[in-house]
Amino acid sequence: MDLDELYKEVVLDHCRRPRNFGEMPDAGNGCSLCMASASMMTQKIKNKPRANAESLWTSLHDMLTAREEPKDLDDKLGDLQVLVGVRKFPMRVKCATLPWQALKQALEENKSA
Amino acid sequence: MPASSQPDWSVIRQDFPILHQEVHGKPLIYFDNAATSQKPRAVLDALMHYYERDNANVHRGIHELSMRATNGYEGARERTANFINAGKSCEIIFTRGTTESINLVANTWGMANLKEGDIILLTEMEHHSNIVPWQLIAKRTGAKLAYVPVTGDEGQLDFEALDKLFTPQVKLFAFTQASNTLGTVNPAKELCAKARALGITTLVDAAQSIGHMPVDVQDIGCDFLVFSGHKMCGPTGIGVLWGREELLEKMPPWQGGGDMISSVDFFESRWNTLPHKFEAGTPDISGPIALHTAMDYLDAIGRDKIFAHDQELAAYAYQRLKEIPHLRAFGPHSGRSGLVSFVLPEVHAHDVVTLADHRGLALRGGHHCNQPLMRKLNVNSTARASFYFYNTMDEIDRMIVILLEIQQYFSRGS
Repeated sequence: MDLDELYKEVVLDHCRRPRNFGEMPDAGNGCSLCMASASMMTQKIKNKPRANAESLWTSLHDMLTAREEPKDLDDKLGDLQVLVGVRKFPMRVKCATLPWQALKQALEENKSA
Repeated sequence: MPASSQPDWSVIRQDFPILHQEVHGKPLIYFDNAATSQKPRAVLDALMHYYERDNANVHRGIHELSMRATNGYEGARERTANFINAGKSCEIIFTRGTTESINLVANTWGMANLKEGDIILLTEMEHHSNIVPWQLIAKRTGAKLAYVPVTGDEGQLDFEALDKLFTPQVKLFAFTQASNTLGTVNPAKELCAKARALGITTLVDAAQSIGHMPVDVQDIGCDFLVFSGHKMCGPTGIGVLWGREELLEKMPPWQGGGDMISSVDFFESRWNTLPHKFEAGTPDISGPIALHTAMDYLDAIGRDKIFAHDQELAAYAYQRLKEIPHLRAFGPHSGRSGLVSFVLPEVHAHDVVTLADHRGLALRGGHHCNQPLMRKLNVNSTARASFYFYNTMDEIDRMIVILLEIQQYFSRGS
């Protein structure tokens, strides 16, 4: 297991300089994977239609939690593809998916809106 | 080994088979002893011996194996009483662990003695297991919770505030003898004396202290004392509640079932005598038997010597950690138990633990079941290195090198 697959430069960069920080309702503090995942998520979904967020959610979860590692990663994941390395660290998968749980909750709460 | 001689720690280390392995290609450094300790060969053998030779149910069979199992189980109760200097062995109740012991007291003593307007006094350094059972009982009885504050990063109890908090409404004071996050050792005897003078019932959580220092319930002067076997070289799944006989006698039973009754009718039953009143159903039998062996093992080394060694390791670790620029370490500067919690600047504890793991070093990272305390200290999590007598100064030196590497690894490209 190569740690560099987990801690890619782009992960560390997003962790140090989280994008859109404070604009999310639950801006918090977490480990590097959580922060990087949240930061990249905000870049992808900000000012985008709800359907995009929902399909991105599915692609991300397929990448991280599908039983078999997907052969081809969904292009729309973009930078988020770097998180595929987390698959090899099962104890840390929930770090990367945590912000996405918050996203799902927010989407469900606003369903009627 | 005679208790008077200085233990040879490197020889003692050989008793622990699990320590002699590589993790991710590096020699294992096990620094997560506050979560659970490792088990010496003698304890593993005791478990095996029981299942290979003596396994049977306790207290009912008349055959030879049942007698052996019963003798082993009740012998462990005698040994436990002796280990904590309890007046009577019927005051020892076997449970699944510290958590279950506290829940038992909350559900029996708590339900029988707490009412609206009463106060349950805890401290801000309690483990969730000494907070949540009381929250549940407070909801059911109308009692309220209050907390003795912790003073900043040094992690001592605020004794001035404590005196003010001891109001006539306080019915119970439950506190930890040693903090699992800060490494603070509380003056249990002094605290219990203050409470006792005011007629306040006391419960001491000895989960972190029992395997690390001499613990004497009569000297401490508490009313209840609780601990787990697995943090003191014993197996998981076995714990102890000690209570004063007169309190246990008056408490209603908790769980109903076999063994806790003296006679059963279709509509009513009579409770068995202590300690069986609180031990419904077939208990963990191998657990107490192996715990007995663990107690013998610890006493052969000497708990006072273990405590002194713990303190040396912790003091050395604290001093060396302070060499790392901007590292924030928690807990008292001296007189701490064998652990140090810290925050490495710019690196979250989960990242510290993952990176350390890949260098063979097992740390704990997170909130340590102390979420309210973490909020108070204004950190979201800490990394924790917790030691036991088989750990070495050399391992601490290697930890420092690893932490410096982690810091460097994380600052790359910035």
